[in-house]
Amino acid sequence: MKIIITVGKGGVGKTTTAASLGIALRDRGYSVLVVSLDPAHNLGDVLNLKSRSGKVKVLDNYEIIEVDVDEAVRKYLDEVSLMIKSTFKHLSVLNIDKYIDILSNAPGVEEHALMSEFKRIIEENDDKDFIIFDMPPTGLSLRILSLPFIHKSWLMELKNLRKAILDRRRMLKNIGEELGDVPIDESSDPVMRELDNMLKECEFLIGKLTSRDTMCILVLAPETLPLLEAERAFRKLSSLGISVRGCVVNKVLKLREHVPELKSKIEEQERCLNEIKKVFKDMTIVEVPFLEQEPRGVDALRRYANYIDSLVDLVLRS
Amino acid sequence: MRLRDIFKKVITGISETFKERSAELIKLELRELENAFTLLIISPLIGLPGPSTITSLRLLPYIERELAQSLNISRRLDDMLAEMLGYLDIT
Repeated sequence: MKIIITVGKGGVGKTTTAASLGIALRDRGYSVLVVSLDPAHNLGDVLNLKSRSGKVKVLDNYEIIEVDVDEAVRKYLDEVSLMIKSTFKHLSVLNIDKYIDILSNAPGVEEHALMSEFKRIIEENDDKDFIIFDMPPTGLSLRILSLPFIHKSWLMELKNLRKAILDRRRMLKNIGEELGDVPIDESSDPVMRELDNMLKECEFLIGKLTSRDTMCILVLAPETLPLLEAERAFRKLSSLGISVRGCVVNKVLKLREHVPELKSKIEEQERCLNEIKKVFKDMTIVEVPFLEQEPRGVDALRRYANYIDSLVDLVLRS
Repeated sequence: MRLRDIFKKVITGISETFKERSAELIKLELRELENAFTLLIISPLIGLPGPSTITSLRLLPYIERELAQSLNISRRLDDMLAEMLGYLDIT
């Protein structure tokens, strides 16, 4: 199973690229799942779908999921709440749910819930040839994708500290000190067990994200701001060890006649296209012209896929 | 009493004192390590930089004892002088 992740600034065409790439791969005989992790979904809109809850079959071997972010946060906190409730049974009179509700707005919870969905979807769909993730705009995408790496460094620190605590407890026990009923080794310590569980989850995600079977595709418009954002995303993803191999330059203006009002726009576009070729020189770059109508529906997405043909080849090659 | 027995008693006495003192120091170190661990776990819940809220929530159920101990320490922090003298075993 291969994982493809589309990353870019809002409104540059990530969803269209993800949906269209999926159709192109499906038409070549592969089974594809396209997943939108963007809290403001439009994957269903791009495919002209009415029913869009859960996994939706669009064509044979072509399914989509629009992850309900609020539901994902709720589900994630419910699991945590259950864990807390089972331990602090005596606090049930305080109605702990009320406090868990407040936590749904805590910083980082949304990213955690989305990463947890990312993991769940990969695990539950390993029969697919390709899973394509349509990510939220760059900022949130980078926070989600870097989460397992940051999380891992914290867990390692906590684990080292916990090891030091267990060492001291063992020393005291060995010289006959009375410590009461406290765990003294890693196998009997529930904290260490939970840290190990979390570490395993992180390592699974890091393994998937940095695998040779996973690649990011940058999607951008030939304008200065999307280019700057794409450069930052490229640097960040590369520093994490996530491979960025493709670049889709969408909405390229190709005029048949000279339009004076668009002169500076065309100049900016030329400058950006040159810069893109320089900065992303090791990637497969495809240009998609500015289309008269935004592609919606399977047929329109198939036509869009013609422009990203070399990207499809890249995905199949790697 | 033979000289050898006196010598043995002195050595045992010194050894016991060192053992007690070392145990006290390890206990102190353990308490501070546990306190640091608890503070790190609850830091996202009290607005300090630390591991994520989710990490805190997942570990919170298992650190009830450490949490109670940290609360005790925080209560005593008002009397820092007594705490320091206690560390140095000055009564």
